[in-house]
Amino acid sequence: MKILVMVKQVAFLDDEFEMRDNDRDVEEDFFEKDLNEFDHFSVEEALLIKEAAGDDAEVVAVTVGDDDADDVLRTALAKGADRGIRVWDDALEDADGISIAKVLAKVVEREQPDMVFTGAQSADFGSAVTGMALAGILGWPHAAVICHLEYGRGAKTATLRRELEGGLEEIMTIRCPAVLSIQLGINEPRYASLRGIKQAKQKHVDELSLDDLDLDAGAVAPASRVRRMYTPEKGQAELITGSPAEQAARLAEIIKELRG
Amino acid sequence: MAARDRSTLWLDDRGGLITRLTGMGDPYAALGACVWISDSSELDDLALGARRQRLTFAAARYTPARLLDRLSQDADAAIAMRLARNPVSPAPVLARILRGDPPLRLRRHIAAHKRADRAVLTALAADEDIAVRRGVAGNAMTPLPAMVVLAAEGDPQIMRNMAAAPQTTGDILTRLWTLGDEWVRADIAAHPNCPAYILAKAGQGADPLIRRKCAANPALPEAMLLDLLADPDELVRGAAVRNPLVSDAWLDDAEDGSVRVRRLFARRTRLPGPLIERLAGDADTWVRRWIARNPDLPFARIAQLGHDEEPAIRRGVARNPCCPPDLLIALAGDADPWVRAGVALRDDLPDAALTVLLDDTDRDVLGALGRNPRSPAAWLAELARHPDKDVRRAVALNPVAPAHVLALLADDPYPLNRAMLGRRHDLTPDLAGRMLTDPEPQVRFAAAARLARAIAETEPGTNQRRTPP
Amino acid sequence: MANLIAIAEQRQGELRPTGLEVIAALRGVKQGDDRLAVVIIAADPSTHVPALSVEGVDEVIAVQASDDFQPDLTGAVITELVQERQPRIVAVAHGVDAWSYMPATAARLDSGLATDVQKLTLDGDDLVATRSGYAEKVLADIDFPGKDTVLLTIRTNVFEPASGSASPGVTQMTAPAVDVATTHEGWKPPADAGGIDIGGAEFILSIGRGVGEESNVEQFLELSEKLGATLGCSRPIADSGWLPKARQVGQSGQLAANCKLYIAMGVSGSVQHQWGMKHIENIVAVNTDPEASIFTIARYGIVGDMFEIAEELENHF
Repeated sequence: MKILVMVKQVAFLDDEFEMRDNDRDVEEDFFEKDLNEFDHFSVEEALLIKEAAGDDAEVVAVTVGDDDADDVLRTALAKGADRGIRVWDDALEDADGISIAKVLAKVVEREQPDMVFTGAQSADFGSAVTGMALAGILGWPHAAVICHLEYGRGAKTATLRRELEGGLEEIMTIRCPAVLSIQLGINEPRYASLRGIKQAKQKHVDELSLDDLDLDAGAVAPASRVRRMYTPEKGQAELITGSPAEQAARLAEIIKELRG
Repeated sequence: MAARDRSTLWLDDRGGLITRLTGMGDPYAALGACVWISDSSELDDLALGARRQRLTFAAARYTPARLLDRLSQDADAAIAMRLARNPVSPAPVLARILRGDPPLRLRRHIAAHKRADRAVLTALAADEDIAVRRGVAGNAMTPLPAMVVLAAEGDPQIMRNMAAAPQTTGDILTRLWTLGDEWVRADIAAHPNCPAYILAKAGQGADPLIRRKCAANPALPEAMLLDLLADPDELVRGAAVRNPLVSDAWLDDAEDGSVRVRRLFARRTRLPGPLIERLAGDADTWVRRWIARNPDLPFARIAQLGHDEEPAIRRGVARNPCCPPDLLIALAGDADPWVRAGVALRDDLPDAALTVLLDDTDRDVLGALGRNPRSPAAWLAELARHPDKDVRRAVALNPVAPAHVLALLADDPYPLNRAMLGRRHDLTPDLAGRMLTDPEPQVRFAAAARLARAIAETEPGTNQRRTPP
Repeated sequence: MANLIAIAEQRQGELRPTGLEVIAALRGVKQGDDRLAVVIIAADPSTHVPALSVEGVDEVIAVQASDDFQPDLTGAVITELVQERQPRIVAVAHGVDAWSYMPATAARLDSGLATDVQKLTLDGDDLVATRSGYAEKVLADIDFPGKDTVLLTIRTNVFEPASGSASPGVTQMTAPAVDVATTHEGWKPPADAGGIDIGGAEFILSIGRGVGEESNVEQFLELSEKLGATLGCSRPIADSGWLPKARQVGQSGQLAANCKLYIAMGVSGSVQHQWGMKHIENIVAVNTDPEASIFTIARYGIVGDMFEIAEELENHF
């Protein structure tokens, strides 16, 4: 049995940052990069299934990104994923979720997994696109924002719960193989042991280009383009000024209005 | 003492450590070493090499002042902004940035910076931007001549900031009293430098807000405080009760029909005996919760509240410094885990209570035991291997955990636990050496700082150095 | 003339109010003789038509199917409408249901796609969608070169719900035959709050290192009770044993999953703490340090002493 987990390296910004000269993204020096937090949960879910299934199960971590993104694959490998796949090509510089999904679809065709997991969304842009777009391209069954999953190895269906707005959960069965986007809190993600981190350096990572996947720049065209990126005028907190008594009076109003 | 492996020789040799760190090429470890080794240009260059690193460290509180100063010599606007926002940036750094004629947003940050010096603030008091001047008005470091000029502006926010600033004099407050609105006046009434005649007016005024602030004034004359303790408004009485000037003797026969006021009585640490007695029997749970923690509570009352049906009250008793040993032993077997955890946190834990608690499985209880200096080393070793990462971290926070127990945590899978270990002052250089290649930057920083400290302390003339934060 | 299509959603047979916000968003880019149609898929779509007959709506497309959410069916309806009508925009509220079919449908149609859109404008003939990025730190204007049809999900609580009345025509559309891969099995209501429930709490007052010492914690328990809030805390407070682990918000603690209002007092806002609460819409930060990172994610900020604010706040409740 094989599970593919699609992971992403996301970027965080401190408060002060500068835009690139083309005004279409933030200057790279200001990024703090890390594994998308949702992906800790999807990797964990795959590892739990693998551990329950026994030795012949395989968890493969896949990412699309430049060499920098190796770090997040190594994180997944250190937790216990068996091997990694990283796809990159300069033609993917302007990729959006749809382009990435087109690349990942080829990886799925190549790997023929029994199940594909992604994070429910990414912590940087929160588009919630890649995973379900991948399912659309593959024509696979799919469900988003999974907060509970019962899936035995090789099973034809899985039972899951989707977390909806307001904490309501819907119980569903789904045909497998499927693409599932995993919600925070579905499990308690492990931290890699130092031994695991050391071992991860020895694990195999396939580095693939678009060519290797029979794709070209035209085949991974995005569904959108960033025209301009800028700082919102009111991105900062609205400061409540005045003396403490005055500030508290305003805070009391806010509480009375918003506490429901 | 076991003979050291050749590979660890660099641990106690300055040149060896620097060679090792430059070989690693890790800016975080280099920065950690820079905290204690201040004259290695190799380490400085490694720490501040890439712009990404300079940006990160310009904003970091752990960056040594010397390197912040070096960063301020960069003509990089983004770095200057981060330095201006960094609360540990020293005065010369802020002064240098200001000399570079920085943009408005940056000047606003410097105006409110707690380490800005008098010259910088005096210059900014004449800034063309009102937000900059408001910042200066609220800065406790602003010199009085600048305050006098600012007070004359009549800007409402400047007046508010100034009425709350500790250095504002009676003369300036008098000026503000005539110019300001009720909020400003309320803050003036609470200011320790408030002139007596204004206080008198404030205490007898019709506005309960101003009377309330007046009642909180730490320099209030006794007669006024007595009046305000009997004020018809419960909020005013409440503020008066909290005033540290209230003497025990006044409260002997204090009664108050307002639950709000009785709760505030009960919060006071010093209370006369008769009042404690009355409050310990109060019908309001919160009054009893507060009293349960009072160290002056008579034993009979402690025992009584130790059996209160409300667990939060029993927790209060378990945290009462004067709780007697026999009651602690009883509470160690309480049905409520948070009460037991309160006992487990005590450094005067009786042996019999410890014995009971060692069988506990609640994570709050185990966490408290993990931190407790009274916990036996063998038990700490157990907890250092506990499946719950928070319980393991408690051991890393235990002030007397022995080195062999701490060593168990150096491979902890939870990065924060290793970081907590790294911050310990008693971390052995051997263990720090092991942690120098940790995957977490903050752990490498701490490990390198520890190794550099060990070296600095053995070098003559440097052992007087103040411990860095 | 261009066609604009809004998808209105129902859950358990009840129309979701966000459909009116989507209509409002599309109405903002409706020009001249453009036609705005609203799709409703339900067991009895006719019951929802009156509520959807708001100003600007020219047509309601009624699809009779089960009330159970079926992503493949919604996707098939959109696909059929796009093929038949070549609309310029198909939009739905940005929410969990939409996540499961909009990206899949856009990928299959090779249409344009933008999610979580908070502003919609026309630049000449070009549609420009604005969304935020890097955890709300930037805005991005997005366009769709070469795409005749664009699928959008619209952020909720941004557009004022459409109102007014209209008499749209009602078109019955036969539900396309789809190979259904998911089956609805039931519902699990939100967990009942019992004891300390950070995950379920809607209003949390949280304290951090600024509280200073254990004896200061009690007054915030009292304050939280007065406010009707659940008291939470940051890791150092729980690590010190001053409050139980169950109250800790953040990475080694709880996720404030259902919180609507979060007041952080004396919390600096470490990454670990933010993990548990940064998603909350209304965050109020109280901290003496104006540079505390908690302010970067707060909606309201108070630079001040948590004890002074707390003592003043008590007087209002």
